[in-house]
Amino acid sequence: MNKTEAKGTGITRRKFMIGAGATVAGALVMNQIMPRELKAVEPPKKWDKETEVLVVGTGYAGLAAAIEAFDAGCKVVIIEKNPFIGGNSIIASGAYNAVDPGRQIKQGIKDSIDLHYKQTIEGGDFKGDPEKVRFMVENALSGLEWLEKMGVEFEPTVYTVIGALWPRSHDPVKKGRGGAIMKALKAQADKRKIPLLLNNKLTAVVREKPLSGPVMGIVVNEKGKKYFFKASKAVILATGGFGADVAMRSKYDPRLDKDVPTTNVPSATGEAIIAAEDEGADVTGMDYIQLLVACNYYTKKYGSLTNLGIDSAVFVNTGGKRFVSEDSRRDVLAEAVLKQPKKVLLWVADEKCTKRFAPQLTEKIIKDGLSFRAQTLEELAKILKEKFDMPEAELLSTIKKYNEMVKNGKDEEFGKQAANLKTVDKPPFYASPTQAGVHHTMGGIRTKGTTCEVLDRSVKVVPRLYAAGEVTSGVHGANRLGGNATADCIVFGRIAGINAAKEKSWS
Amino acid sequence: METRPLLKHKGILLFTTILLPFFLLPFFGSDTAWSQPKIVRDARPGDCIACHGDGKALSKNHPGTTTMDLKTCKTCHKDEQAEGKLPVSLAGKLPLSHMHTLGGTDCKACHGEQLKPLGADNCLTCHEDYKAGGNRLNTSLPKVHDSHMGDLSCDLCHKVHGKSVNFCSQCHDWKYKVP
Repeated sequence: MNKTEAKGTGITRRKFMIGAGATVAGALVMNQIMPRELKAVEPPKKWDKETEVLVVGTGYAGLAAAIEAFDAGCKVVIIEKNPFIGGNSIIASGAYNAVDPGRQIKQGIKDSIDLHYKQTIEGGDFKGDPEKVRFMVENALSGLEWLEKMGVEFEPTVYTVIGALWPRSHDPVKKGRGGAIMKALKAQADKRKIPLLLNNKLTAVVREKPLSGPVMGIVVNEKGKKYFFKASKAVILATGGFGADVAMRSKYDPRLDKDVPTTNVPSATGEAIIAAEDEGADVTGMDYIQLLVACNYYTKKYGSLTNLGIDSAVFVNTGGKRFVSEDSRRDVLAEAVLKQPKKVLLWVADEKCTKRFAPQLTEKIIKDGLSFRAQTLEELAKILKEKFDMPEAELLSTIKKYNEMVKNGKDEEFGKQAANLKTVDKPPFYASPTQAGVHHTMGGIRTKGTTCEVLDRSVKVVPRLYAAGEVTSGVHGANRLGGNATADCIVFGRIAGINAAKEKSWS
Repeated sequence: METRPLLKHKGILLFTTILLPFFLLPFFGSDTAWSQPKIVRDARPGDCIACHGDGKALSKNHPGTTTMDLKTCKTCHKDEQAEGKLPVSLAGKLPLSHMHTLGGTDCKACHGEQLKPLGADNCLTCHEDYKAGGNRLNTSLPKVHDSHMGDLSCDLCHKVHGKSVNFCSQCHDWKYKVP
């Protein structure tokens, strides 16, 4: 460009101010459209904050990791991007799968570690990492007992949470659900005086050199201000999945656009996966995204009378007919529902099922007309005729046939397992119109074996970087069993904390 | 190579001078009771018109409020009033700062003489028993202050200097009136 052309720009003060305004406005707009412009970051000359083990995320895995690292003698800090703790964990059902002879034998349930392993591997279409799966099922009970030591009380009986395939799901008592586990873990973190910084969001992982060397810390955004946080031992990513990020999930499964609801918290947006990728971390299984039939037909939000257990329940379509075995894998259920009229299933259950649901919430949902209740099956059939034009006789015939099959101990139609067969005959009766929503992202950051160390694309460990929970991949294969995520997060969250604590500090 | 000066590009000029103000209007230009009023520091707490002007904060037939305090307001705007019936509770209708000043708690009572900014922790100085309250207006709803979310910061819902929001509604279809 010559001098004349430079003069020819004709920039006046007014135009400059307009241009500057446009730039700022443009930046604001771009910030909304592209909220995660992440890139490799050089270590700073001076770090703003410092600890030994820095845990990112406050769900089950994050708090378990923080507590274990602290108990191993480390200085620990936890950061959380939200103004509240818990992510998906605090809204989860809290069902925890573990082979537990102490409870199961009393209920006459036969189970084994090998069966849990087999069902998890097969249920994930053999896409899970056998080493990780074996480790999880073998350590699930000790993880449960650790939670009990942390103050979580579980029900004395087990059941089959939806998609669990076998009665080995443990619920916290008093319908406390995932919130009860989180409250107990938070109380333990507080007891240890582990600092927990809310509104602190990871924006980048810092390695010694871009894409090489050990992880030294991270860049954090606290209410718009960025700072560098040094972790002299390790950084643990426990940031959850990306089920609520429409752009990210539909990149891997184009069907999961904005019209598909989600059961997740809106902040399940997976930025840490991208931040780790920016520093060379590998990811696997990103297109294994689970849908769960748990969203209400009317609100499209989590809030039906769901997660009631599937034993004394029958799933029918708007024609009043069964179309799938109620104890199927979650992906089988979701795909089956998507093929039904209005993409809805009516979860028809009796009083036995609702015992696992908080009574006041049941009342609220019924009052709001989001689910239905009747004292007789005939009355329930009338309601469903009115709401979904369901043929009354068809529904009554379906339930009658189902109850007969339960008494004979065999589901001849869809092969529901004998262990999950209970009659639907105890009033009041419920019907809950339910749809599939994005629930869990099985893919994520690739970790080494059972150490929780993050691997790069050359299958080398990214030194001092650990990950646990939904942010990782490999445990659940292509489809997660219901109740296995809680076990995954606790088992591997603890290991991440223990292993991070073993690192030697740099200074 | 000849380059085209950025600001001579007609599209950008059109955007910045004509379209951008419309684009930003929803953020800065709305003219409701909740938009930024003029601030008259010595106005009485009940003198809505002093700051908000006539016909914005109050309905046309509303009695004069200049001398009113919170107790007087509540003779009509009862907390216990059933949802949907007039006159409704003031919950969610006024920022909490107004509720406080109307009730006799002025700015300095919380912010001190220097009017320092405060965190939500300070709410507990007076509202230590907050867990006993919550959803007075709709008792069929769950107790929000004892939820599965544990202890939340008050200002996730209760905005002292703005319109309060319903944090729970991100997931639940519950219609609370958040004060």
